[in-house]
Amino acid sequence: MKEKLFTKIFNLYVDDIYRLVFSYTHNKEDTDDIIQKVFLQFYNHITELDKDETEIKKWLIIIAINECKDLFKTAWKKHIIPLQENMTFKDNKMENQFAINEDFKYYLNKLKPKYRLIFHLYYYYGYNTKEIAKLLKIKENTIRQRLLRGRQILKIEKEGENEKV
Amino acid sequence: MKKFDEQYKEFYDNIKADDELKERILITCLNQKKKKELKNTFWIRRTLIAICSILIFVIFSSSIVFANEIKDFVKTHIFKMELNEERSNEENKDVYTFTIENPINEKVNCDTDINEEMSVIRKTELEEKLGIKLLTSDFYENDFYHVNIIEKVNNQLAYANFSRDAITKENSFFKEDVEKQIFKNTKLELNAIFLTPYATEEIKNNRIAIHKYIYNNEKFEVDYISSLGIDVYFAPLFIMSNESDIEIINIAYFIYDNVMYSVTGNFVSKNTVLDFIKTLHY
Repeated sequence: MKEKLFTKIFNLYVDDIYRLVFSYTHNKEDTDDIIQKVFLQFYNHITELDKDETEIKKWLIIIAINECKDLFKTAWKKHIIPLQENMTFKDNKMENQFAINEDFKYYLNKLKPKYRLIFHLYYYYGYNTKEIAKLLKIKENTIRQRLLRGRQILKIEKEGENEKV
Repeated sequence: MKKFDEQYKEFYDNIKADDELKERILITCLNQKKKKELKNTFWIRRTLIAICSILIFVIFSSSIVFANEIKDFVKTHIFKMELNEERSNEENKDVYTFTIENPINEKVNCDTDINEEMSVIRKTELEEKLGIKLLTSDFYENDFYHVNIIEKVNNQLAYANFSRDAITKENSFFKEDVEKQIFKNTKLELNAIFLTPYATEEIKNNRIAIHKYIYNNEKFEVDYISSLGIDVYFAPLFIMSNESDIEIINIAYFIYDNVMYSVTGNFVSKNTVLDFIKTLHY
C-alpha cells in the first residue's frame, strides 16, 4: 500500500519537483541529490501525510525548498563558484529573444536563487502571490517586490545584451 | 516573439529528472523498508541479548550472595571449638570436654562421650581408614543444633555434623531418648564439611569417598540441580537404633560454595536439598 502510493506520487510529481529544485540550484548534481533527499523524506513520512494529492504536492514543494535553502547554507556552497556560472554560453547565433535554452538559463542565472524560486512558483506552477506568500511564509508584498525586482534584473540584462549585439 | 512566461514554461518543460535518477530514487526508497526491517530485528535481537545478560548477571550475583549467606550462616553458628579435656569414663569410653564459642551464646561448655552405635563403622576403624584423628561429640545448643561428630585437625574444626531439630529441653536430659528422637523425629539432618578455611587437602580430595566408606554403600545416585548448579549424591543410610533394629533413611550429599553438606531424612530428594538451602539461607 505504502509502496503503491509512493510510486504513484513519485511518478506524478518527480519532474515538477525536479524543475523547482533545478530553478533554485541551476545545477544537475545538486538537484539530483536534493530530489533524492526529498523523496526519501516523503517515503519515511508517507503514513503521516494527508492522502490528498495537492496537499502532498505542497508538502513536497516545502520540503524541496527547505532542502535547497539548507544546501546554500553550507559552508561549501558559500565558498565556491559553480563552473557553469562563470562560463558564457553565448555565441553569435544568439537572437534578441531567449531563443535557446542555454541562453535562457544564462539569463535566469543572473537572478539570485530567491528570485528564481518565486519566478518558478509564479510562472511555472501558476501560483498567485498570495499562495506563494503562504507557501514560503513570507509577506505577500515581499513576493511582489521580488517578482518586480527579478523582472527588472532580467530586463536590464536583456537590454545590455541587445546593446552589445 | 514569445512572451516571457511561455518561454519560461517551455524552458522548464524540457528539464526532467532522467530515468537513471528516477530508478535510483525508487530503489533507494524501497530499500529503506528492508533497512528498517533489518534495523528493527537488530534492535529486537539486541534488546533480547541485553535482557538475557541482565538476567544472567542477576542470577549469578544472587547466587553469589546466596552462597555467601550460607557460608556466613554456618560460620556464625559454629564459630570456634577448643578441646579442653580428653578422658575415659567408667565404661571405658572416651569422653571429651569442649568449649565451643559462637557469636550468639558466647562460650558453651559441653561434655560428651563416644557414641559408637550411631554409625555402622566404629570411630577407630574410621580413623584408620581416613588416616586422620576423629573426635566425636554430642552437643546441644539451645535445643537446636545437635553435633555428633567433630573432626579436629591441628586444633581446628574441620568437620561438623549437626541436625536441626525440634528437641525440647525436657527430653534433652535423657541422652539416649534424645538420640532416638533425633533419628526418628528429625526430618532433616545437616552435615557440613568446612572445606575452607579449616579442612585439610585430604578431606577435600576424599570428601565423597569418606562418606561412601562410612555408610558402606557404593551405590550413589547422582542428580543435577540446575537452579543451584550442583550435583547431588543420593544414598540409603543404615541406622542402628537403640532397640538394635536397623532403620534405613536416605542421605544426600552436595557441595555448595566450598562447603559440603549431607542431608539425611526419611524422604530426601532434590526438593529436600533445595528446602535445606532455603532454610539455611533464611
